[in-house]
Amino acid sequence: MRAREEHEFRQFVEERLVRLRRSAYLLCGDMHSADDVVSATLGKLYRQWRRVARLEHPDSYLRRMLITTYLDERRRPWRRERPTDAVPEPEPVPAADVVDRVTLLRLLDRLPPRRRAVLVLRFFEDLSVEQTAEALGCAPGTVKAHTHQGLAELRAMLSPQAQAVNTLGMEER
Amino acid sequence: MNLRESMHAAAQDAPLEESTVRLDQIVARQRRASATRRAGITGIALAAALSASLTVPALLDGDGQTLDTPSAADPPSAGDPPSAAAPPPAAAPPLQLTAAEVVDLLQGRGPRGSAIGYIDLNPRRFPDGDPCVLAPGAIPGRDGAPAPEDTCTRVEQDGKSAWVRRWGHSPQHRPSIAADITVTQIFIPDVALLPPGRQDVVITLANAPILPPGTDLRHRPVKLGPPLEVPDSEIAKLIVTLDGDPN
Repeated sequence: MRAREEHEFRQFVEERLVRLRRSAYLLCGDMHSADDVVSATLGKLYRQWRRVARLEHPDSYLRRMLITTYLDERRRPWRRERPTDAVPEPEPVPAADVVDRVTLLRLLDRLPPRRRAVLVLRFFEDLSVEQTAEALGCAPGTVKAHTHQGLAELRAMLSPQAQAVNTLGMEER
Repeated sequence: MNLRESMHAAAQDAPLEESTVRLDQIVARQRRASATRRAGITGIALAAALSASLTVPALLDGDGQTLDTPSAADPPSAGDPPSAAAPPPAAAPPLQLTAAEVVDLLQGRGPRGSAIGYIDLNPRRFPDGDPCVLAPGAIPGRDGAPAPEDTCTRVEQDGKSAWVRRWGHSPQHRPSIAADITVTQIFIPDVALLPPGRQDVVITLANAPILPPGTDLRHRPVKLGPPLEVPDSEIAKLIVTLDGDPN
């Protein structure tokens, strides 16, 4: 990569790094894993930079890279769930309109990685069904199904009071 | 619960202060990986050029039997990856080897082994004369034929002699071999080195690995060493040493 291209790469990344880390944080649930995923994504981006720099929407490509890296990371053997004797009892979630960070991450942690990614893209990145499908490399119908199931699972995890108070923000657009 | 607002609030609340994302390290790592990939591509191209060069003429062992030949691969062509010919990020200083060090390396010893991409000694028959002279009908840089950029010298010492051919990248004739690759081939006739008797041998040194065509570079870590230099004066000592010490 030439010096000018590298300069452009650095500039592109620096302008988006905070947002990228926030997205990764919502996906991974902790900052160390998020930074690992971001670093791996940026490594891939560097290798593809000549091609990405010519794209009309490089941000979409970057987002897709982040999601792919996250999903790949979650597939690694040491990330897989381990069987236990006792089934953990989920703790009730308080009835608040905006739940705190720890609670939200605890809820998201109970979702399968792909479903979690759909919710982060739809509700944090504010992507449409089509844009989310493009980022995940799947059909729009799959995104709709994941969104529906993800929201249903989150609702089921919430305490009865919380479900009654407000589900408006969780409705599909 | 308002999921959208909760997500934005959680993202705002993310502990971003202590970042382990080091852009400089990412760039440096990718640069190294790029150089490694380039060396690997070069290694394969080099193997194609080298194996072809060693198969001319037919390989014969000491008893006149045909040896197993390396698979003759297509010679480098303009269609090979262009990155292979790109210059490295930083030029490494050349590594000068003495005759004793070459002997050590041939025997798998010596502290400089890790810096050598490829070293080999093969019993091979080769045509008499200057290896830089293009044979009638041969195409420069193809099938082991010399390119105009190659340099050849004749070394003589104590009644022994050898031809030394130094070659590598040729923009026109070997575009697939990187510009920072150095290959030294020493053609030594009639050496009492290997049983069952005296044989011609070819010693090949390169600062890049020479990989079999078809090697999967994703699973094959390779590196490009510093350019190798073996002065003619050391080669003169080498040919005497080899002939005088069959062990």
